[in-house]
Amino acid sequence: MQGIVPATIHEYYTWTGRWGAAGLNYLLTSSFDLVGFYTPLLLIIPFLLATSVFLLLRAARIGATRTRSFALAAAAAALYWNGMPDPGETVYWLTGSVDNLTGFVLSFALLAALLRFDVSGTVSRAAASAALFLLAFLATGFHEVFGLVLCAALASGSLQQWLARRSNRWIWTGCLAAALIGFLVVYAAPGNEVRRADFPFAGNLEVTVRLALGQSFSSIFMWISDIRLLTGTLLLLMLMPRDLTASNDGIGLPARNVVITGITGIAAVGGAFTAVSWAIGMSMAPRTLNGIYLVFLVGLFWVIVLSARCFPAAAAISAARPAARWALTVLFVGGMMLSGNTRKAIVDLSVAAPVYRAAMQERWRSLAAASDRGERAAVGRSLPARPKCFIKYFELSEDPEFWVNWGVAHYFGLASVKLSAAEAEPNIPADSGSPP
Amino acid sequence: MEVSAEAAARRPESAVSTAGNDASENRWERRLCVFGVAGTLSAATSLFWYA
Repeated sequence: MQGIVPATIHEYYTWTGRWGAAGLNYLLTSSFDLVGFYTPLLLIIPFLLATSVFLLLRAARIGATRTRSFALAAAAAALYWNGMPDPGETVYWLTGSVDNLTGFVLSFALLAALLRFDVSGTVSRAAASAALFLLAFLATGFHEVFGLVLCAALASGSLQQWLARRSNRWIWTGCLAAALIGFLVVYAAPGNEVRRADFPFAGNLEVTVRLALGQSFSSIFMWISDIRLLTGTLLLLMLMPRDLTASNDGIGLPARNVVITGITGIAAVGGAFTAVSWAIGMSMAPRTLNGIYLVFLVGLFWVIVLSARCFPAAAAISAARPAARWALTVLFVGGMMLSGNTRKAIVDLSVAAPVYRAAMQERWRSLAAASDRGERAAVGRSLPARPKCFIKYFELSEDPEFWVNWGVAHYFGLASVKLSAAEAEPNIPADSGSPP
Repeated sequence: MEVSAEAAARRPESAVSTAGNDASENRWERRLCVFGVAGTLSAATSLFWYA
């Protein structure tokens, strides 16, 4: 199947309804030399995610100045990366990043635009509304679960707009309708049924309940008791209380908004765990858990901000003793620098990551050289190290029929590739005097 | 608007303290937090090179 659009349509019918993610994956992987540009490509979507968080903070007037909103966005990005269950599947793998983060980027941009939607003039208002509807539809095309979460957020926002009789209530409702249609397009894809055949316990109610309860309670307990999040939240209220309540139009919000947002957050996180358990009938992939963790963080933060705006006096806890502030600061900074994914990254950066990169480059050169020599079969050497922060699978096996081996062989124009047995020393076709 | 001494005394302690905090009281705590965030993001960004 040749071409980005035909390949995306083919995938819609045979593998996944995530047409936005499939299209962007095909676009990026066919437009760039992946070996030369993988690092900049990987950086794009996390950078866009941080940018969209900044835009959302500015739109919600969180942060008294641009610098402070930037600092909050940076802190949010650091907290998310440090606490996410497995950064390898979402941050350091292009396909994982496209599938699991791009929908959030578009969703945050949409919510930012909705919060500041103020276009005068019939024509421009209609055009801007149409653009927002399109954005809502597109945002759901990257992941069915996170598309559903966007629908929940838009439903919550629409309800609050209608209760307050705001002028933008129809725009919010229109975006909700567009997102629901987008979600249905993704959910109803024939490819989902094909993929479901790989999950024999999918759609089993008993398995769904057991998995959803088990995974949600263990994950949420771990996330809530995270010392970095606890100390970070307290420090936010102590050191930056006025940044949460900078918006004059936010002060005096009715308490029902806090309740609606809180219920929406709980429903979104609980619904995501349930939906994934129903769809696959087994423990979810870490990349999906990474996404739900982001939903959890955003929901919690939004409830804190709205609470601070509804009850500013109660939320300002800056009267704490200096010793308490210092203790919390040391705990927060120590937690961020010495635990979670930062600790793993420090270990990886000191040993495993450089060794891994050198070994992968050597393997690539060897396979390319074998292809250049016209050889049909090649043997890859085992990797001496695997960084803990990187994705755990997608490695050659000793079975040349394994799909990863098949993919690598086809990429290099070889008939087959297999991994050398651990004890058998390399039989690698080399280009620079390495032993055959 | 000028605030009388009596009114200031009646103000909640948190409000008084907040104003002070925003000025300079928490400068070093904030700097330390920025250091922690920047260090974390540096580790995250450095790994991209090896991916």
